[in-house]
This record gives sequence, structure tokens and C-alpha cells, in this order.
Amino acid sequence: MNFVFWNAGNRSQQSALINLISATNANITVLAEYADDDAALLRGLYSTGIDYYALPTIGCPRIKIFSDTPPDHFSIIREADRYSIRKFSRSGLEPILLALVHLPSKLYMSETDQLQDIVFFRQDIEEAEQVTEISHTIVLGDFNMNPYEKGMVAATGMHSLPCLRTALSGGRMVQRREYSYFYNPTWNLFGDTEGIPGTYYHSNPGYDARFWNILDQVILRPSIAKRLDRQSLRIVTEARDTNFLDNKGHPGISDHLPLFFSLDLSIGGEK
Amino acid sequence: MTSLWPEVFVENTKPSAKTILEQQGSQLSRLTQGMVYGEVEQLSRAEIMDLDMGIGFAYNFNICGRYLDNYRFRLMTLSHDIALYPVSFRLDGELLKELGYGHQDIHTVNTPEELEIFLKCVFNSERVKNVVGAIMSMSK
Repeated sequence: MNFVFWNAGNRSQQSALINLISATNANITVLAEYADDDAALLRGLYSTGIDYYALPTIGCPRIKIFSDTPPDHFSIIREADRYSIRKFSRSGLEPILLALVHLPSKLYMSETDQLQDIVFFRQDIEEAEQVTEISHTIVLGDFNMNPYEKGMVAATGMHSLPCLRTALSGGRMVQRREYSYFYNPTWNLFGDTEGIPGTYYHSNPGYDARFWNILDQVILRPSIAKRLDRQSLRIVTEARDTNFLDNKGHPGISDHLPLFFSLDLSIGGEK
Repeated sequence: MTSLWPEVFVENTKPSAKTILEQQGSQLSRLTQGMVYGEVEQLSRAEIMDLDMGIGFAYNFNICGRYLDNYRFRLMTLSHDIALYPVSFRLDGELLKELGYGHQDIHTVNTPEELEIFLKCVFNSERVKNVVGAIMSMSK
């Protein structure tokens, strides 16, 4: 299955989205800051031969989900204003939990406040895993923090590691409490040896500036992480005749670039 | 030796925030013919520590759909110490905006009376009406 996440930047992006979805053959497309009309997008996709659905939301209007699978295959388990946790089940595929998130920006929150929000999110993911008895959890979205920041790495936060071999050990005890791991393959996208070195570019006049950030990430429970096609994970810079970069090579049509990955969910499909 | 204790102790009869919210959760069920209800979910010691919410008691107040496969929407998280009041609330972000609290997401109430005024404000918000309305529509 192919997944795409994009923070569309609250701008009208219909033709870019149609190109993105068709070029990547995305089965599930998750959007943050999406400002377009759902029906118009679905019509546009249909006219190019793609039969897509818009999934309803209850309490999380910040995240919009589109899929080629009908909405009744996605049940909403837990929500808050910044995340939606859904169970996806379809015949022939392993059932998974999809936790989709758009956390607040540092423009409005300190790193400490961000950490608190991420603790709520992680606790709700764990509750959802317990209630559904599903441990195949994929967390996808705009975390508004880099993979190396506290909220992504700390045991009380997402506890997501850059090394699958370590994450496969399951978890660790901290202060006599057990915390389970996520694997964060998005670390592999850092550096400039291949492609573009981030999903978000920010030029900071201060001493401490990184310019490129990877705020848009996917992290996976170890039980499902081996099904990720790690070579497929990439930051999308173009799709058909849409160029997502401006003439300086920075994100252009939104301030974020889309993220794409592919996962084998077929029953018995574990590598 | 003379007693160092006061002459009498008076039992604290103030209704706790948990009790008030449980009652309101049932009221919501009555108003929606059982389709939607409010649930008070106690946080564990470990969860309270992770959230750095002091050393007392903490709860989530969730809006739930009876016919929606375990659906829970976390509207707010509240905490207090053994004295029951004051109670600190962390609110849903959309609600914060609507109620004009900006990004100051901790709201504190000091008495049951203040709590009732606060909850009336929250429960009558467009945000809560939209969530409850969406659950009702998806429950049919």
C-alpha cells in the first residue's frame, strides 16, 4: 500500500494533489492544512480515472484523509483536535492502526508544551492499541519537530529510534516503567547525498539555524516496521507536471513538501 | 497532654469535579437518546507523571459514541490534589480558540460554583455541539 502525507499550507492545491496522488499511486492520502473542497478534488481525481473517497471526521478537522478504500474500512478510535487514530481493516490485509497527527508549531508553543501534547498523543495511541488489540501502528503527520528532538525521542514522548535493529527489541524500562519503541525511518532522509534534505525550510537569523527540517515524518511500531519498503520512503519534489519546489529549491507551493512511503500489508507478507 | 487537634473536623462535602462530570456525562446520554455520552477516564500514576501534572488525581473527559466502535474524543484533561479544589483543566485546542483563551491552555477553577459556570460555557460551545452532532449523525 502506498501512503502520502502533505501539509498543503492552507492554499488551493487541487491540481497538485491530483498529480501527487496519481504519480505516487497513493492508496491513502493524509493532508494537514487542507483548504480545498473535497467534492471538487474527488471529481478531479475521478476524471483522471482515480476513484477516491473522503473520510469523515468528528473531532479532528485539522487532518483530512482520502483513500481508494471506502470509509467503512476506517473506524475512528480516538480523536483530539490535533490527531485522529483510526483502525484500518480490509480483507487480505493486516489490520493496522493509523495515528494521524498535526502538532502545534513552535511559533505558538514552547518545546516543553509540545512535549506535553505528544505525551497525550502517545497515551491515546497506547489506549487505542489496547482497545483494538492491534499493535501494527503507523504514525504519520506533521509533528512540527525534527526526528532528533525530545518529543520524538524521549521515552515519555514518541520514543522513536532511528535504528530498526534496536527498535525490534520492543522497548525499555525507565524508572521502573516500561516504554515501547517506535522506529523512525525518516532519519534516513537527512543529509544532502540524495534528493532534498528536509520537508520544511526555515531561514533563521539567529546563531542556531539548521535551515532544513524534517517535520513531516512516519514512525512505525517494530511489529509492522519490517513491512516498510525503506527504499520507497522519500520526500516528493515533483509529481507529473507539478514542481513542489520554488526557483531557489525550497518548498514552493506549500511551505512543506510531501512525504511518500510504501508498506506491504498483505497477510503473511512480512519480510 | 492536651489535644493539639481542632475541636471538630468538618467533612468536605463539596462535590468533586469527577462527580460533576460523571453526572454531566449521563445528562449528555439522556439528551442524545443514548447515542453520545461523556466519560470520565482516570489517568494512571504513570500517565500523570509523564504529563507532569503534579502528584494528585487526573482524568480525561471524553465524549464517546455508543454505536461507534469505541470512539472517544478527548475534550479536556483535569487534575487536582487531595483537597479537590482548585481544579486545573487542559482544553481541546479548538475550544481554547473559541472561548478566547488563546494559547494559554491551562484553565483553573476554585470552587464547584466556578466549575459549573466553566462547564456550561464549554458544553454550550460550537466545538462541543459540532462533535456531538457529528457523532449522532454517524451513529445512525
